[in-house]
Amino acid sequence: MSKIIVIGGSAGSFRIVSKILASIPAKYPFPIVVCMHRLRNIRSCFVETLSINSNFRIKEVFDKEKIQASTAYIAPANYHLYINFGKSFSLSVEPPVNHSRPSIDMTMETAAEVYLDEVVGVLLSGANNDGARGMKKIHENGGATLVQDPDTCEISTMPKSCLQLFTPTYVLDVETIIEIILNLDV
Amino acid sequence: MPEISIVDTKNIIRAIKLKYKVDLGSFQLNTLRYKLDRILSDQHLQYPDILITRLIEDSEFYSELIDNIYSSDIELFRDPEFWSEFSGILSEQIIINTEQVNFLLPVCSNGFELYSLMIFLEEKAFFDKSHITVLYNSSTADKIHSSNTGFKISHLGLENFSKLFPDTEMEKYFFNKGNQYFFRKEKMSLIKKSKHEILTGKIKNKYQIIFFRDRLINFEASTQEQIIKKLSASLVKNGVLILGYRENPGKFIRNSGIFETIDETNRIFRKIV
Repeated sequence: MSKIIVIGGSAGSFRIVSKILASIPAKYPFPIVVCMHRLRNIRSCFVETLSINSNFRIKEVFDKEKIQASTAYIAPANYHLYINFGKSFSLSVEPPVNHSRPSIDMTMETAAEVYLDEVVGVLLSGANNDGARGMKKIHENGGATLVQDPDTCEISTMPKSCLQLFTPTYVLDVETIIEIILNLDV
Repeated sequence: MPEISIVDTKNIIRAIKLKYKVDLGSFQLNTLRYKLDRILSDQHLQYPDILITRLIEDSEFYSELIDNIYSSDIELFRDPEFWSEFSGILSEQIIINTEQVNFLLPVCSNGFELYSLMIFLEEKAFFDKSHITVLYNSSTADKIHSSNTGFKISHLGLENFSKLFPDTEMEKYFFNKGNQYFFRKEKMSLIKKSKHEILTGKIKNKYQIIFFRDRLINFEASTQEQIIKKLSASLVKNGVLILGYRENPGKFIRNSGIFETIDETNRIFRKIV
C-alpha cells in the first residue's frame, strides 16, 4: 500500500504549508492531503496562492474524488474532508468540530483507518486542539507522526495539545519535517 | 475517534432495515457514522448496541434519528461567492423572457437555504416572479414554518448576510428573541411545502430551477446518480440544476447529452433536452 501524508494546521501554518509544497518535486510519488483551518466563507485564491511557488500538482478536493499519487489535495473551505475505503474522498457539512470545519481530526482519523501504518501525519502551528486526536489515531495504527516543534510555531497550542495526548514519532523544526517528507521510502 | 466504528454503522443500518424497511446504506458511510456518533453523544448513550436497542424499541426516537440524519449544518448564505455571482447568472442566463420562475428545494433541512433564497429573491426584486416549493422530510417542515420555533443564526451566517447586503438591516427579515433569530414568516405562506423522501418519493411537478446545494454529498456515488436522474426528470427543458461548488455532478450530467454547463465553478447545469 502506498503512503499518504496528511498535514494539519491552523493559525500560523499557511506559510509553512507553502514552504513544504514549494519543496516537493513534481514527481513526488505520494499523495499529500492538507487540512487547514481557513476562512469559511471565502473559497477563492487559497489554492492559487499555494501553487505559486510549487511544481507539485495542487488542487482542492471534489466530493468522491479518487486519491491519486503525486498530488496535493487541499480540504475546501467549510466542508469536512473524509478519506474512504476505496481511496477516495468525501465531503460533509456536519457541524464544526472544535469550532472547525474542516476538522483536522476527522481527516486524520479516517486516513488512519484506511491507510493504517502508511500514514505520515504532520501537525503544525495552530490555536486550538484540533488534530491531536487524529494524530493519536495515526500513531495507534502504526503510522508516523511529525509534530512541529512548539518553540518554532507562531502559535503553539495545536502541537502542544498533541504532545499532551501522546508521544509522537518526532518533534521537529520545519526544515527537518520537509527533509523527512522528501526522503520517505516508496 | 468516534465511538461508532464502520462495523457499528453497518450494524445500525442493518437493524433499521430489518425493523423499519428503510435502507440507510445509500448514505455516505463516514458521514452517517459521524452523525450517529453525534447522536450517541447527545443522547448520553454509552454503546452503539444501546442505540440499536433504543431504535428498535422506540419508533419516535427512530423518527428523530432519521430527521437528524437528513439534517445539515448549512448556514445562512452558505458560500457567499455563489450568491454574489448568482444574481447575474439568474437574470442573464436563466430567467430570459420568463415571467414566472418555479424553484424546487428538495431535502430542505434546517431552513437556511430556503431563507437565503427568499431573501436573495426579495433583495434582487425577483421574489414576486418566483414560486418556491420545498420538499422536507417529516418534522423539519414544522420547525421551519412554525411561528413558535426559530433557528439560531450563526456568526458566519450573519457575516454572510452583511457582506452580501450591506445596506439591508437583518431586522427586515428576522426578529430577535432571546439568543435566536426567527425568520419573519409573512412570506412563508407563499411557499409550497410537501413531505417527501428523496430516494423513494416521486416529484410530481416540473421546475425551472432546482436548488440542491450540498445535499448530494450525503450519499454514496451510485445513489448520487439515481438522485440526479430523478431531479433531471423534474426539470423543464432549459431548466437549471444547482449543486454545491465542490460536489461532483457525475456521469449522467457530464456524459448523457441532456445537460450543458452554464457555470462550472458554481456547479450550475442546464437541461437542454
